[in-house]
Amino acid sequence: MKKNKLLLIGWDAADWDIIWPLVAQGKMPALASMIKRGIHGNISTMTPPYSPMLWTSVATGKTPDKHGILGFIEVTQDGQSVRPVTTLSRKTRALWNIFHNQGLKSNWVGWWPSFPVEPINGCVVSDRFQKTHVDPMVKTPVSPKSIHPWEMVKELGPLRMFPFEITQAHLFPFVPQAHKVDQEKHKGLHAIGKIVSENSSLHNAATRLLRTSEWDFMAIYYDMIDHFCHSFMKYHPPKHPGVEQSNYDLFKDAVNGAYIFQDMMLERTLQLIDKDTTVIVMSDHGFESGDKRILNMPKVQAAPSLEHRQFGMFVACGPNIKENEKIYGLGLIDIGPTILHHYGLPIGRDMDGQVNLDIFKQPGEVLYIDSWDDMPGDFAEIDKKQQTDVLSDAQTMEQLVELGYVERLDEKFEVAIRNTRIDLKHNLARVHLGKKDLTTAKTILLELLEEPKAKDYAPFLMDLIIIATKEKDFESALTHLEAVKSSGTEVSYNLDLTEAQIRSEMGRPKEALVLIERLLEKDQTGPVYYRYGLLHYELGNFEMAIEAFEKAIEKESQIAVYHAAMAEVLLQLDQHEEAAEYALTSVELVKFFPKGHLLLGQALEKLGDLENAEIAYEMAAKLKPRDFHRADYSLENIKEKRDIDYTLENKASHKYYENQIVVVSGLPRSGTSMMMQMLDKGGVDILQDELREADISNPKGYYEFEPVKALYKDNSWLEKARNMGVKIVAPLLRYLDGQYRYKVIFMNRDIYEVIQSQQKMLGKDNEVFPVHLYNQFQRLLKSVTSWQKVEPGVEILYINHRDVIQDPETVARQVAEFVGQPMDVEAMATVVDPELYRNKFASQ
Amino acid sequence: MIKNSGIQRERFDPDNIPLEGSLGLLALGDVGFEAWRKAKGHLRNNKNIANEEK
Repeated sequence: MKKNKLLLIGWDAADWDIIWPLVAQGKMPALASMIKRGIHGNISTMTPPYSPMLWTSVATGKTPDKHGILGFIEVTQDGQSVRPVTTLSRKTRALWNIFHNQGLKSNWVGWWPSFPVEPINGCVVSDRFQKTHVDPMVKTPVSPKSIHPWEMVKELGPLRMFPFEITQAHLFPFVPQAHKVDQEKHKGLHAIGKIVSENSSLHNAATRLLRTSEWDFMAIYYDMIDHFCHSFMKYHPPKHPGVEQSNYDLFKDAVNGAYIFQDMMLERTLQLIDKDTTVIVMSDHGFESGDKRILNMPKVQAAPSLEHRQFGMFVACGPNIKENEKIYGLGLIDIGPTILHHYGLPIGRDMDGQVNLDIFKQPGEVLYIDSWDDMPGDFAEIDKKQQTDVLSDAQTMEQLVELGYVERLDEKFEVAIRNTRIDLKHNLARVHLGKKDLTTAKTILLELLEEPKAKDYAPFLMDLIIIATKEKDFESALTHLEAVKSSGTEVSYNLDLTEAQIRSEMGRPKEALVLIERLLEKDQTGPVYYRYGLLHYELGNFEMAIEAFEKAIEKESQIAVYHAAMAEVLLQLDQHEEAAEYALTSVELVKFFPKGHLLLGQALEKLGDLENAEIAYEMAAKLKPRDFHRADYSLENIKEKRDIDYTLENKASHKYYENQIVVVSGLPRSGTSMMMQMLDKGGVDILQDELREADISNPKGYYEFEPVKALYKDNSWLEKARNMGVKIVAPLLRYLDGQYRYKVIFMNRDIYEVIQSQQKMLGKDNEVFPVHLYNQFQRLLKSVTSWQKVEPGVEILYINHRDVIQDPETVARQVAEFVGQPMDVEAMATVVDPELYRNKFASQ
Repeated sequence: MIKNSGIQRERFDPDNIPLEGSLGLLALGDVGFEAWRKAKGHLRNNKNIANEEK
């Protein structure tokens, strides 16, 4: 008997939201037994969540730009036609090729795509095997390239079940009142017949191989849950207000029925393996079952995938798998490398996935090679130039059309070919977008905009908006948004939400809030409430923010950023225990979430649990790239905190940090220029361009640097400010780049005085006091307090304007200590001209 | 279209799918399927499947 066997079972689109209630009711006993014996958790998918791309990433450990499977269909090699995607599009070696080369015998059943088969050591029953015609009178023999070795066709061919063999007895478990369905009006039973027969065909082949063949690795893929969900999730309880009661009554049990049947098949499968076999059951993505269910599918390519959810399910058990544990942070891309590691095989350094060692009792050492693709030897590959018979793909094509993944092919093939080419190129752009390679994604999308006859340009523009917003190129983002509005697209994008996101990122939260409030009247979904909460948070309305985030979480409980946002607000309100809970949930949902770990660290630090705070910060620092510095600084701070007497409110360490940036900030007319002058005299190099000349309001100059004004869209110049002093007005502080350490000297002056001084400078009437300005400044000061609290790289020293005037020497000493480097305190004190201050106020 | 066999099952309980029923046999895989097909006589009666067997 073979040792160290591994059985991988793919349940396309399986989702914990459906599974847990069924497990609790005892309706999925086979999966429940695996959960009890092994590990379980979420598995995060990739962008875009198209199944053939995803399952190929599982089988290669690589992202679609590297493995080449970019969609549901492909253009044939001769460029004359299109067909459902095949192995011919794959441009890297899959696990089955590697196993073959390493002398391991593997069986693959139904893997998408695995047609045409590759002649490996083992057996392949490809994704084309089970496709048959619904009409009993039409013969659909097994395609010659859909089984390897071909001799197996005699044994496996008769195990195909035909849709017309499905009886009412098969349908009742899914549709208890199947006999009441008007089949002229609703094609539901027809769909079930096809799904159940096809999945049974694959299950029959798999069980036959499990019973009769020797193998080291075996994979079985089922699309049953995915296809049931696409057809019937809209009828799943709770009743969606948009579906007819009669249809709801008929089909409400269909989705649960599919899961139960899938579990029954799992039970049989587990009976056919020995107890030493490691088993993995996983899905490639989840499926929306709440408010985000889509009743009217938009006419865009692969539209049904809009219902796919970010998290799928993962369960594993076996001799070297941990027991009865929940596992966090699994990624679909890591499955291939983890399987290779199970067999002691090296991982290609060119793979995007990593070995997930957390699942193993004895993790062992991970071995690496540069690339499996460069290895010489027999990998059982086929000549990619060979052609497959287009006609043999007709059944698959028909199914993809019925599911809505592809449009019915235009009679003019050149149109279909062009559309396919464009769709695949767009998918490639989205893959790069998912990998945060914005430059490549943008290049491809801009090329797509130049396509003379694309069906719809709006999808490209929507992706360009995401990129432009991330690059803080707001002008382009708004231009693209206008282009979408005038494109005449049939897709109903939530453009108000998109615009609110852009305006929010632009630093115009009030404009964004108006849009969101309008949107909430008709759309009370998680993303809208989330944005609503973020805007209130930004504006310092913490209670409103909490209310909004609570609603977002109520709508969608498994979105990590919602929980993290809640943790962030609670931290501001010093509700550290609750903040820790939300932050913990966020990292349980997505392990690779630096901000979540950072927030958890901050909450634990505030609770005095320095040991666990350090672990959380270490995790955040380990995860790259954006929050790395913040976590790093937090770690540095926490280590210092253990050595020195530290109070929570005090954010001034008086320590000099190499390359620190000294920032003088405050409201305009709060004495910032005076403080800049003090730093200058004290010996700090000043970053300024002297474009703004001294005037009566600031007779000794402004000490300003022009690029500061555009900090919100470009903070790259901050590099120049290292080891220097720079003036940045309070509203722009939050745009500082987290990768540097800042010593912020914040000038505090009575807001009433500030406003009077500003009004005078602008020549405005001082009799009318601008109350709105007063309120706005108060909020701004509050937001600075919030900002500096959560930024570990920021230290802040508040200096009262009045203290500088009354006792400049003491203040100069305070500043010098804060900056942490030797300064000429005496010279600093000479800067202050009390006369000037008194005169100014006397004249007001 | 799925054939209506005339069976009326008003009270089918979707929460209790009997393993010995048709779907239960399908879940058993090749063995269950072959047994079910044999019992139902599909193999004998269906032209399409019979042709492929030759």
